[in-house]
Amino acid sequence: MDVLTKDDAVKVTLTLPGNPEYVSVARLTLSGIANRMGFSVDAIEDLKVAVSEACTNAMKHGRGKNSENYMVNYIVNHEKLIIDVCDNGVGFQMDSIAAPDLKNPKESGLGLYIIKTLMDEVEVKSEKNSGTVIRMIKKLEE
Amino acid sequence: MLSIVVNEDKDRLKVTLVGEVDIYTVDMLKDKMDSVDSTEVRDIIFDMEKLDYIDSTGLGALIGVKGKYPGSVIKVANMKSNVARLFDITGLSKIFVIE
Ligand SMILES: Nc1ncnc2c1ncn2[C@@H]1O[C@H](COP(=O)(O)OP(=O)(O)OP(=O)(O)O)[C@@H](O)[C@H]1O
Ligand SMILES: [Mg+2]
Repeated sequence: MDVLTKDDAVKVTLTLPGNPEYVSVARLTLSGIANRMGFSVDAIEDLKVAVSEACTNAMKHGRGKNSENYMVNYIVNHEKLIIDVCDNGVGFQMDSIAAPDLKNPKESGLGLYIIKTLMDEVEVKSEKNSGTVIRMIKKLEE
Repeated sequence: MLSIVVNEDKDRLKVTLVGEVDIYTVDMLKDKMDSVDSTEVRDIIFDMEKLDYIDSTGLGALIGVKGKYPGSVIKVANMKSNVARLFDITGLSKIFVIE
């Protein structure tokens, strides 16, 4: 996943501690940025959930609670918002994650499915033991 | 932040959620539900009028409540549109009674 090099791209980076309390900071930052860009109230709610799901996964699966930091990059481009959530954890195989059975709900396994439903594009780059980057893209509606 | 008010009235349990349920606050919800004496409970209603935010961690906790009370009717009332949207996406609106 290349970092955007276009002139009009602006990047805001947040380094968050692996402490659950701070996921709300990722949401607050998101609200500020998405609001400035002109996303609708509904779209901002969707974006908040997506970024939280990715942060929660970075913390829960990326490594133990209260230890490692993880990073959130907000890349602003006039027609879209790109959010990368990066951790240094154990990594995983996206192909091996089955879609949840919605008729038979379980207590876990909803996060990635929710992200994919709410965002326009989702890409996961993950390697065993060298961490995960999940990139989520939402386009600004006209 | 999250605040939770539980009212027990005979076999009816009303749980009012105010604020946000996420990975930080979800343990409060789980602990609160665990502290309820479950033997009498028949009906559970979650009032979400003042719930501003929920994600998979909170939805998971609600599915856990469903699992703990298989014989109960669990209602969810007054959801905001962003919360209702997640219930629809994940199929939860089919396993709870939405009011
Ligand atoms: N950043 C990550 N690092 C390592 N593994 C991950 C990461 N993100 C997701 N996974 C893997 O993908 C699985 C599915 O993630 P998903 O968010 O869909 O469900 P969950 O986190 O297990 O439960 P929920 O999100 O419903 O609380 C996880 O159980 C984990 O194995
Ligand atoms: Mg998750």
